[in-house]
Amino acid sequence: MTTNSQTNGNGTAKAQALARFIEETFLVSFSDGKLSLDSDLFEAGVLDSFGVVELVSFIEGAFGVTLETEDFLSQQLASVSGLVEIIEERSRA
Amino acid sequence: MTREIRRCTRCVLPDTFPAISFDAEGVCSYCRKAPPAPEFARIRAELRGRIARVFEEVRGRSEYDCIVAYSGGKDSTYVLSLMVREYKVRPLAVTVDNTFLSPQAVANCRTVSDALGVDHMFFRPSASFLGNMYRTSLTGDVHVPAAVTRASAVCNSCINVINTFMVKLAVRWDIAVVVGGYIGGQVPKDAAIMKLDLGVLSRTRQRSTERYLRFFGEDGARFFSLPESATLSEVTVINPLLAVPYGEEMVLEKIAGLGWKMPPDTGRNSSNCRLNDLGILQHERRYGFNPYVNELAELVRHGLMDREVALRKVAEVPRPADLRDVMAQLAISEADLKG
Repeated sequence: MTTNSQTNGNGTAKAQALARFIEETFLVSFSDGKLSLDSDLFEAGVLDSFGVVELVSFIEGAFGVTLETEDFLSQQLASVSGLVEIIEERSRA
Repeated sequence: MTREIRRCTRCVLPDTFPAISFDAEGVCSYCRKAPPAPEFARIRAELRGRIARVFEEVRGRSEYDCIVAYSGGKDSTYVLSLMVREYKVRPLAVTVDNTFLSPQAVANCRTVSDALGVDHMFFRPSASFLGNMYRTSLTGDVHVPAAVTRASAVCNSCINVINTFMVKLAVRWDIAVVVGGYIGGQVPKDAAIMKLDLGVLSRTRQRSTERYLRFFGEDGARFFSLPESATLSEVTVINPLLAVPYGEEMVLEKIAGLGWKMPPDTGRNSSNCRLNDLGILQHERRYGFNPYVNELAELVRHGLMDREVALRKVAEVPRPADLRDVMAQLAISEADLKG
């Protein structure tokens, strides 16, 4: 798994859990050098509109947070590292 | 030389299916991850309860309680009958005519709607847009890898247009529920009930829409964009066949009483669309597996279809010689498909 983003210990665990879910559900790999945790998952052809619904459902169930409307407007939604930032922000709220 | 394909000894998934592995007994990783029978039954029972509660909430609140995305095929015909006879709701049946509907499927839409006493409408998008969308889908990498495991590229494109139109109609006509006829393996596993926040949906769809428009041209924007709603904040999408008892023979038996007849020109896996076999042929060539294998494997895995029946369905690859009319309608040649 290629890690480009700055993450603390908890962030790394979240990023790994997200990456594992994305690999298993969307049938891609973060290990082959084509995708990193900072990759735009829409641009890379990983996520479609069904995929977003699945991803958000996983995040809300696995991390016990509720994403807000503004999160869906944010570019952070498109990458693993951005999603970790959203999850950490919602966990603090 | 054609290599022999290894298949899961429990379902029918082949070794060409993405991310598959086999254990010592030859059982695939998808079967190993599937819930055991009691858990599967419990999940479905819980979903049936949730679906019933959704319909209790919306019944009688609007001109129509739900929109049924009605293809005229066997599964959505069964779903339409469930809405009227089991759930006792008033559906609006809507058929998107993708220009490849079998004449018998069109007749089935009318006959079944009349038999059930439901209102029904056809929507036929521009043939030039659809033709371009199908040609591009057959030759380009339009869809994400997960979508490719659930359906052929032409089906995925068509499904996107249909789903968008149904949600758009729900917003415009203030109908809170959209019902589909998808079965397990055709849609993500959480698709039995999906509550879609319309504000969120329109924003998240922007990114995937941009991708489709790069392939299909800006002229397609109206087929992928969603309007704002003055009254609805969310639409609930329900696929009842992910929850209720299902079996192909049982479905065919039940809908025969509504006057439904199997079209003669839609191939082994479809019961409404003449384009389907071309999508299968191209999918086999590009990815090495039948696009129906995932849903057939799901049915076999859960004891809803005999494994031998599923094997027969995936064994027969459509022949280009049988698809000349369809290719002529699309103005596409064998050479175009082989790229």
